[in-house]
Amino acid sequence: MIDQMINYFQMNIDTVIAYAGSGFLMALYGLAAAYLLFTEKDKRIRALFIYLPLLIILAVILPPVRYAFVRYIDTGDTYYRFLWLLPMCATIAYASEKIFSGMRLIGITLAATAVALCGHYVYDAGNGYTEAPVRAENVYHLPEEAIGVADIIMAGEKGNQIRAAMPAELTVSVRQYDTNLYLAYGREKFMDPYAEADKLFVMMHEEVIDSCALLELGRERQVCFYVFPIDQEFSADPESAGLEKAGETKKYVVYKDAYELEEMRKIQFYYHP
Amino acid sequence: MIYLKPVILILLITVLPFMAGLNMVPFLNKKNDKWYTVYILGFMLDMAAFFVTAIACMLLVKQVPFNTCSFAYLIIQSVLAVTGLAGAIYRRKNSGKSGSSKKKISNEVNDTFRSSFLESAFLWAAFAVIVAFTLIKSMTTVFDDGDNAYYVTQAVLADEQGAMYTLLPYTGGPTQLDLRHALAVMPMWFAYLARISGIHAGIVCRSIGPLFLIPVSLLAWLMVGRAIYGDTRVIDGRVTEDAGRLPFFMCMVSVIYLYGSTSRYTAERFIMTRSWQGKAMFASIAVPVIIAALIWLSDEVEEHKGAVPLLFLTGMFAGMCTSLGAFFAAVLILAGTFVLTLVKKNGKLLLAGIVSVIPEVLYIIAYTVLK
Repeated sequence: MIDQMINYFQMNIDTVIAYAGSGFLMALYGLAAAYLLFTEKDKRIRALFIYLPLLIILAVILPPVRYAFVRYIDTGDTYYRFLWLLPMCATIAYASEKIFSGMRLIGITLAATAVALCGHYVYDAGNGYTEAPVRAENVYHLPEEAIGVADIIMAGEKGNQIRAAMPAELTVSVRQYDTNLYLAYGREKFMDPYAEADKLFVMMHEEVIDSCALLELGRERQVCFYVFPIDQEFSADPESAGLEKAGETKKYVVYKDAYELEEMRKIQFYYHP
Repeated sequence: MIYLKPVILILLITVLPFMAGLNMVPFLNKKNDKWYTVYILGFMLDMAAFFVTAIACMLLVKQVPFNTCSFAYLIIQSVLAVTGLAGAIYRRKNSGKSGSSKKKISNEVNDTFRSSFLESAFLWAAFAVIVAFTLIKSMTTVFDDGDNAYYVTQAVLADEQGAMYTLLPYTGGPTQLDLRHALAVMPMWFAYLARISGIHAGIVCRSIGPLFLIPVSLLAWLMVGRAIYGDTRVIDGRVTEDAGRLPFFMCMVSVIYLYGSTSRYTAERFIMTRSWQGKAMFASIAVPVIIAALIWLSDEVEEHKGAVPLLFLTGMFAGMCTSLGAFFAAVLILAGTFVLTLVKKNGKLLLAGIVSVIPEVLYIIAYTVLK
């Protein structure tokens, strides 16, 4: 029990450190709260911006709190969300206004600079604690390639549900665009420790794909379309295995299994004439 | 016709919530009756109504429940807006000439007036520039997050298929309703906006979402600032030197939003990079609104009128945002009122907190029972 509590305590400290991440913004927040502790007379502000955050921080690092949280609330990695209850924005903003109240125009420049130096610009490149942003390619905020692949597959299939198999990186995007496009496997594979047991998933990501074996596996799962990287190698030409080229984008090529598509059209759940 | 789509969307997310907020004006007093407070109250009222509507449809409507949900909620949202407007007109007629509390700002020009006005105007202008920059960047920048494969797809599923959590978001095909997690119905709200406006749900979430959610979040912090500083802008018709406090506060908040991305876990990074996800809305809208309401609660007794209804509605909004939102909102409200009770030595504050968390308690019971 004691070992478990020590372990939880270490995890709690790690949670706070991971939340703080790069820079010194949390330290700036601590300084702001400390300043208010010694200078603020307003009981409301002391209660909500000093004592309440202290109570929250204390609760976060106490091992029994994590034990109870994991036991009764959530087993996922969500414990850090307690730290969302800290009024970091308001504390830093209020404290800096208090410090620079006599010279606000100079003060806002100095305070904002301090935040910029201690924090990390959200639109900057990732720094190991965060991922880098990319420029939006369209109003859907999805890769243009994913939209192109979806449009090729669903061309002429409006209103029907069509199942496709595609590289894993596309699976997170296509259904945000068109939910009539079903997938043989999706994002759950990213989080599945047994993903390697899914033969279709594994085969779709091999360096050299056996088209015939792939088709056999795909038809078990009612797959009508296959998407491959444009430079994918095959042990035999896909068209010789029974696939027809449906289209291509800059990075991907789409093949259609006309036989399976015809079979799917007989199933009213998927096909709505 | 295509030009009507954004107009309808703007009506749904700005005008109708503001009108709904007019229903709550009798709960407000002169210290907190600003337009953004009315909007936030209306936003929370609309969200609470949507929460109830969505849950009812998920439980009671078997075939394409979202079609019923969107139609029913459009009526409910419209009714709330009409009653709010009717109430405002009625109050204005009955209050007569004494209704307006605004004082005409003195035109007397002197150094104090000019410098404090200019300082305040400059800071508000700086805030506007920072916000404009933030919104332009949010529109043109993408943060790759795998969770969108769930949240955005659920919204698109509801709009395209009429399903509410009964189709698999990652692969398609039917699934059993997981009511426990479906209590967080925020993706359905985006689907509602998409259905009524005619704009693709993915666009509503990822492109348009940040354009109004980041400002709503800033309005919530504006409420906090106003609650802290009160109305010291104008005294006896003269702009005071305190006029610069609120815009200074807001400039700092908006800068912290831009530079708060020190890790992938911070609330600031969530609202800036995945505004449409319920957890981001909880951290950056529900939390500041709760803090503002707690400040109201800590003021004199007559201020309490608006605080408890606002906390009540925000608790429902928190549950709608994320399954853990109800829990964390309850923790914040109870911890906040507990601390205030000790500091102000007033047991009524803790009682107000306990009453305020009734929605969260019911949510947690439902969440536990549905395990």
